[in-house]
Amino acid sequence: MSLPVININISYDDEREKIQDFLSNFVSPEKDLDRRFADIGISDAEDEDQSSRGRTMKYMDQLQRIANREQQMLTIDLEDISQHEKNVAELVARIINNGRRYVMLFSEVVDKLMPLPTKDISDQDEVIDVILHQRRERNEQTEGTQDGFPKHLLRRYNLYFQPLRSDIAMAVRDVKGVNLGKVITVRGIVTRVSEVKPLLLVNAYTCDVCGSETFQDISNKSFTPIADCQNESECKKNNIRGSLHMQTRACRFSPFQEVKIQEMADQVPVGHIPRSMTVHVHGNLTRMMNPGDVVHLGGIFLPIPYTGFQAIRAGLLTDTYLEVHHINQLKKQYSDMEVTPQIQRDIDELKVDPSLYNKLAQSIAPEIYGHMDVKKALLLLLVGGVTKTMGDGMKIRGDLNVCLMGDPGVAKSQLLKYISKIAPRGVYTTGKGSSGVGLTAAVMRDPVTDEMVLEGGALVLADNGICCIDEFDKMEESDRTAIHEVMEQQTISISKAGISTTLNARTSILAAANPLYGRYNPKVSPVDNINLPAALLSRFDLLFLILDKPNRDDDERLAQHVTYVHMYNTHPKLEYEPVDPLLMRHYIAQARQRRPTVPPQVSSYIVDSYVRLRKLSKDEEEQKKSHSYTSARTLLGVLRLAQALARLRFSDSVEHADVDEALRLMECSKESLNDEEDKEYEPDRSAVSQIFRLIKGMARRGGRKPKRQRRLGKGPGGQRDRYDDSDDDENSDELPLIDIRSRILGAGYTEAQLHETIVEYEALDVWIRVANGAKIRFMDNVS
Amino acid sequence: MVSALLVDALKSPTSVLQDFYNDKGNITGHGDEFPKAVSKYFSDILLKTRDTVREVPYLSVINPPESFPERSLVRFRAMVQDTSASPEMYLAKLKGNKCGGWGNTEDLAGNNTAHNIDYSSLRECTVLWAVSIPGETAWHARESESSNTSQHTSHQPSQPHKFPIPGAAHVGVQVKIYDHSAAQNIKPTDIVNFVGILTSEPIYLEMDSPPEVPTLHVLFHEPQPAVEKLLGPPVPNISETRDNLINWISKESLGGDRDAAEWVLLAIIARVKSRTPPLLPPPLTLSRFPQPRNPSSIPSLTHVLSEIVPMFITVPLTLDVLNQNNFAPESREEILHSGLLQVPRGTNFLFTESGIQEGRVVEKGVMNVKAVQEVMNAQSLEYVFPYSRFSFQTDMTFIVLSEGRKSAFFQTSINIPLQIISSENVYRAKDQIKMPATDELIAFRRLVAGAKAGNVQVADKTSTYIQDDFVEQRKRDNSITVDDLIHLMTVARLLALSLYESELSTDVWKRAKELESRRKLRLR
Repeated sequence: MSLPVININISYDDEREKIQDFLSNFVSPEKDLDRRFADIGISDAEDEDQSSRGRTMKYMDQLQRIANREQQMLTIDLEDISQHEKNVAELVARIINNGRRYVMLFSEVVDKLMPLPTKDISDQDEVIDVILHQRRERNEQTEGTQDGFPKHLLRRYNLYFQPLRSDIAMAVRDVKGVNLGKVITVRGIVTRVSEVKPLLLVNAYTCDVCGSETFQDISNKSFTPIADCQNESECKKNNIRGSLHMQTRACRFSPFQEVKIQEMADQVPVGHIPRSMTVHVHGNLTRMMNPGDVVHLGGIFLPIPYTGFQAIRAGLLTDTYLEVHHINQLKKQYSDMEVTPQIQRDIDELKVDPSLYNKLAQSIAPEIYGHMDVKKALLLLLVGGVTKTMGDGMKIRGDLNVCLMGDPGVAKSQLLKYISKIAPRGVYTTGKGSSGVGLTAAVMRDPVTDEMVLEGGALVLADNGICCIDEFDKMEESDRTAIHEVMEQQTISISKAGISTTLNARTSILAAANPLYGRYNPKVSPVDNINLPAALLSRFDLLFLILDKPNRDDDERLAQHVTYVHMYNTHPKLEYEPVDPLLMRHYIAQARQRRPTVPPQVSSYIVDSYVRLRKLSKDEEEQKKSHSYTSARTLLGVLRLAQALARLRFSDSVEHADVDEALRLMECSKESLNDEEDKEYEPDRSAVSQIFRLIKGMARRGGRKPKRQRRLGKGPGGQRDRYDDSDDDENSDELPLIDIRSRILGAGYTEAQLHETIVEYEALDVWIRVANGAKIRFMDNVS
Repeated sequence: MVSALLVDALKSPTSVLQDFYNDKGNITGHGDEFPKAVSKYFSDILLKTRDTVREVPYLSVINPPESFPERSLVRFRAMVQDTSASPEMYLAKLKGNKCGGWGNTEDLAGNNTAHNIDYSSLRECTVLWAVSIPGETAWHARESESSNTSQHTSHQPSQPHKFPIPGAAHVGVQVKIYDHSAAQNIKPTDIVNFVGILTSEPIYLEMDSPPEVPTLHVLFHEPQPAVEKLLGPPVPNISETRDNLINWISKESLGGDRDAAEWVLLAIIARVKSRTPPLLPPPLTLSRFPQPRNPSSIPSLTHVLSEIVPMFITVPLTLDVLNQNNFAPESREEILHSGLLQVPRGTNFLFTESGIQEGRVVEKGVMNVKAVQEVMNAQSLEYVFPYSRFSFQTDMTFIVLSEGRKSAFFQTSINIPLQIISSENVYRAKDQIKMPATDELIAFRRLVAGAKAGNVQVADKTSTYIQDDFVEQRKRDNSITVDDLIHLMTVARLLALSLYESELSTDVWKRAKELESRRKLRLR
């Protein structure tokens, strides 16, 4: 790759004039609010005059403040120059191509334009300002007769260029030799930050013979100090070798920091290692970046010649670095994604697609067949409802929470992983929390600084995103408590290792749980199958049960799928064209910007539906066939779903149809729980199930009693009573078959039916026979 | 003519390069034209035949960098370990119309050099770190080495943390590739054949006096294809050779357990067929594997398999190994430290659990176990960078030896309890293992390599048969899931591969089912 050779047929004098014109005449198009407030209330008649006075001379005003020692940073916005020049091809392009030279040119012009301070130097100012002041005065006195202090010694501002807004942030690996000397923008994550050190810009010496000052410009990391006095009028004239002494106070230093940035995951081609880049930060921009920050850095890409040994040995010319001029901190969220015109066109096309809802839902994990309602729910989870903050600071959660329950091997995990990938800030984790970092937060050692830091767990990392928790049922108790808080308050309170704080966790939760006995047991009620407290379950807006039922058609289809995959090493072609995940992300991101409201007539419709649901739920409860119940939470859930549906249409108000669909999904989610029972209602009344219930009832009673007795310890009667089987008292989940038999036969069932029950549930791993079949042990508490 | 050039190139590559520059230096205008031309020129000279390239001395532990004079022409077949270094700038044209790059430099004394440099002749070159192929077996290394090996005093690698296997002898070299655009596709763990000029240069590190490391200025390079084919005649009588191989493995290393040996064969020939959908090599546990009398003994299986696969790594797991080593590569202070699992595609791993004692697994150990499990499950390995992790695709096979019912650390899709028939020791030393005749051994190697490279189709007829079979089975036993079907399909395909059948037949399907049911029976 060849490097650019710059044709220097530019007259720098012309450039200086242009710069001077820009700096002295540029009027900020933005109105300076402070000024405006100051001007308010003069007179209405002066309206026009006022508006022109409200505009400020953006740069001349800043120069005045610099002269008055109230400002140090002078940022030249390239956008302003392009506006002033009405093009980007000339001055702006030349600045971009040759950044360093133009920093010098601009500084020279600024020195020339620098107005006199309107404030006098006082004891309030810093020492350096006082010295500068003295020097300036001396320069004026000695004008013409003697070399004054060099201009750059008197500068007390740092000049930076701010890149054009349209400048595309590059990846480190795309920064090549051709970019040397240019103003570029690079994106990356900060991995290392050095301490701030003073960087010597101008070294000052005094002669111990004549007392005159000598100044030396320093442009490299290393330099050779001057030893002999250079004063032409004294030492040199008299041929005296006056020795020089460094004067630290008279030198000019600048704060300096070395930073490393590294490429982000999306910038690295698959299978490659991320590259990093050295970044130099000067002056006022120091201390603005911390490790872990994601930044856009505008600056000049420059070579550092290797020095000394390395250069001689390797003949290498350069290492490179970026001299930072502008720092833009980023936080990756939906709103920060870059939209290309092509994507915008696709989104607009998608928006008017009548089958949009189905199409997007189908495109969620397209390789997983069926489960349309689940996918629809997941789509709405991605879109989310509207979060509202009430006047009194109370927040109404907009994020939806969904729980998927079901047999192992029904692709729950794939669904979760897909969602965590498509959502920005999607985090996938398992409830087992196998490593040190749990769901909530952990105190960890920082890999770079080696200090202890509070590191957010999955829930904190998913702030403003979606936290997908697999094996929700296997979660630790402490995490479960935290989940309660997250699901309603959307915060996490931490009190660990002396750190006590509350972190934001405005996250949707998508959970997947396995049934209590590993596989769903159709013979007991859904609630018994779910190993989660009801209080936690009620916090999910939607709860789906996905079962793996042997069924000829489904089995055949599955087998076909598997064999197809092995035949062609790829998934079968889909019957429809799924929406590209990237487009989906952008569509959802834009949809999330809407804040649909509920018009009065729809609102009353929701209220009616809610009342109807409440009544229904009450009826069901009376019939003892309800597994979930309708509460105010349900009402909020319906609202959130309806809002998400409205967002999906890019609409600003919720419609009847949205509410209907929301109610339908709610219904589906309930159906998925009930449906199974309805079908199995007959077998559920079968002798086997009845016997199972009886035994389970015995286990509950029998399982608790001995424990309590042991704790009380002194129940002589009780103890004697239970003496016979107390050798196995440790295993309170064991029931002697003798007791069971007498109970079951007593209830009017046959020996054969009892045997069938025992064998059938043993096959389901609900219990096993122990002690040569003399006892039954329940398996639930073992795992 | 060519042979004369070859001799010259071997003797003084630098002057051949300079001559070529005098001829073709005018095309150095812009871009990569000259380095590309150099690459073509030298590969034409040296790759004329398989023998010409063998003339080039081979860089290895036996012929370490220090055994060569400065600016020798060498060959290095290596694994790329780290590509994170930034490209370097060099002067393509030196004073007196001399060729720059490839280690040719101008004497740039003094500090003010940056100013009198002709920026128009600055070019970029790619810098990376390459190491000897980890776990390369002795027979395979001999295939690529030239005959004139001279035993040198033991080589001390300069950057030991950049080799996957801690403490192992290896060569690590800084590689500079001047054909910058051709080097863009080189990824970590790729195996690449480099030919170039060997010098010694400082490694770019952030220190004041970086150490000098062996540096290879590449004249040309060629990546090794993902699936290596061994040259030579086809394997005679596949099924007989296969039988003999299984017999040999079972007799010499598994106490005569033929079923276990067959599973071992299936495990080592597996490779990633597809990632979406995942068709990955199934890891294998040989459970009920006897404990050695001496805890540090290496199972005979290591010696046996090392004779037939090109890359094989045995990891005797102990708590110390787990808790102290890096299994996944980790970047610290901008230096990518290697990890045990940073190995080329096609590497076979053998983990032994006999050295595990009671004790504590610290966090690092847990992360290591997780990393292995993740590679087993998904064939992807996360490299650790500050504030981020990057996932890299892998393609390796695993065999775990465990004395218990199942592996203490890893979940493998296949677990077969060993049933020792003969009383032969499964921990015999290498010299106590009866080697097959050379011809037969070569046939074994070719069988394994060929099976690994092969492809199996599933015909419609078989597919329909399998589908019906599955539906029937599920009708009878509803505990059978799709996962069982997927597993059995994988086994059947591997079985077909080991038999060199290009199509899965119902016969092989039935054989796979039998093999599988015999295995299930042992698990009872």
